[in-house]
Amino acid sequence: MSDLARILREPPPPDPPAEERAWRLARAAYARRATPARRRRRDALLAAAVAVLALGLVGTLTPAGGTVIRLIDVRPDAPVPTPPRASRPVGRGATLPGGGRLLVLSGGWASVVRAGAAPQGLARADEATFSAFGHYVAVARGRRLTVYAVDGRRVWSLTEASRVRAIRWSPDGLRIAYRVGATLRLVDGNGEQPTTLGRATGATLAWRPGRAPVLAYLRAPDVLALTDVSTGADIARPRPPAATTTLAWTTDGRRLLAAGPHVLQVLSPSGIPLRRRRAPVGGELIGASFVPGTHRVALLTRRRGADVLAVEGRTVAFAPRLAAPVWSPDGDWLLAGAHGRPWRLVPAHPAAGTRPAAALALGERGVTVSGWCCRRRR
Amino acid sequence: VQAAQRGDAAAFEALFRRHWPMAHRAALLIIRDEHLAEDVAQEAFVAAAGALDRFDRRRPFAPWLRTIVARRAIDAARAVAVRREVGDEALGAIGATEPALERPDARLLAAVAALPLDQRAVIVLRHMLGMGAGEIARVLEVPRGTVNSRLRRGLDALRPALEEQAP
Repeated sequence: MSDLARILREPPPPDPPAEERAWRLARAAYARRATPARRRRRDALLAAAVAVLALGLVGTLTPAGGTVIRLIDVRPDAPVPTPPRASRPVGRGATLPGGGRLLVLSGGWASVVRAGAAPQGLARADEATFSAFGHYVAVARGRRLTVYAVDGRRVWSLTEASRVRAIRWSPDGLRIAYRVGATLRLVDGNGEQPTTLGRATGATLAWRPGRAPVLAYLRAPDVLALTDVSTGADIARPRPPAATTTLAWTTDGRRLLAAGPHVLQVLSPSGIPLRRRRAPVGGELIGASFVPGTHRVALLTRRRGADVLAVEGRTVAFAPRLAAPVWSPDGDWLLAGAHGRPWRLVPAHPAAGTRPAAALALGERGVTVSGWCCRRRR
Repeated sequence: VQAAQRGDAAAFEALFRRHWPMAHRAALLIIRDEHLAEDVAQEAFVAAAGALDRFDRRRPFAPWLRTIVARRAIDAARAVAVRREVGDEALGAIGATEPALERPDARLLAAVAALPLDQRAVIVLRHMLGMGAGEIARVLEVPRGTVNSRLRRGLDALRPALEEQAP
């Protein structure tokens, strides 16, 4: 064997966490292959029946069990309240370029809207987030976290000790992360196994796209934690910019952005700072994100009484007050919202210019777009 | 392999444990990004698990798996090359965390990592995964002559580091 072959084939230093992460996925793929679909369905039904029976017995027989039932509160077919405002078609015939649907908070209600169709009201909400593939919506209202199917059916709900904030559904759909007081909580996408991961602060969490369940969050104002939630192990704990309000990953999960009012930092998945940028003199950063599918950064800055949204230095929208923009799943468009004005679809690429393509009638004021989901499958 | 195809999870785990280091290292050498390489090696095993029933068990398992790994790693490396925006300053920052290049072995690995993707891929496929020129040509979808010329250029570029290895 040549020296080159010997050195290339030299076993790498052991990396047990990486091997175990890979093994869990490979084992799951192998189990799916090895078990016939009918048997899987039968086993799932049997397990669900046993679980419901056990929960009923425990709930009936013990005081603690009663508490668990109140907390989990599974009511799949509960009636959905109707939004108090008159629903009307969105965009009046306009289409959403790239397709998909929007998750909108308006008048204290979460609704799913499709262009040209009446909004589907879900529930009263403080915050809401789409699931990975947009089939479900997690809604936080006070101390309650509830998941709805996009057709309005309530799927499950749980109640926490204090207000639920910063809900984020993981890209693989398996977990929802959220903050309760100063703790970071996780619950499985089906509402099972709510657990505490540790301390957290701030209103921003960001799941890393990819197979490993890595969450970026502020553990303290000066500690940005990148944690593999499957093991609870920290991958890195870099120091974030002061007063960080924004955390966002690239679509490929290879870059993380952390931004505060004065500094923006781009980090590697290992927490290594790669780029650092200061806010313009006399201005402040009020939002930042990556353009989907790229490593380009979009910045929302406030300076001299005006908000400017720019992609890699090119202004795409400005107004006295702009809401944080929402990207289309394909990254070609963004929804820019100015307070008191209709939300506008703006082309994101230089060749397309800056003229808004269409206004969406999402409501005149107090409207927040929480998500635009999902990429059209090819 | 036969036992794994029959549904023996322990046999499948044995296959995984035996081949994971090779898959992970090959992906890392081609892609040069620890996290992406882990994703690619994981995906290769997930794909292999899903396709295990279709695998002809009269053939050896390792070449089949290494082909899956190689194809995915090269696709990922090409995608990274197309999308890459953070330039050499980022690579410098990442390099600063690597172990010091004091040993000749480490310098040779660094020289391999510094090769252009087309040369690096053929070097890894030929000298680490042991593929023949024809097999590499099929994986890369290029003529066999192109494989040979890339291999020659890659080895020429590695010559100084290889000469350090010589006794």
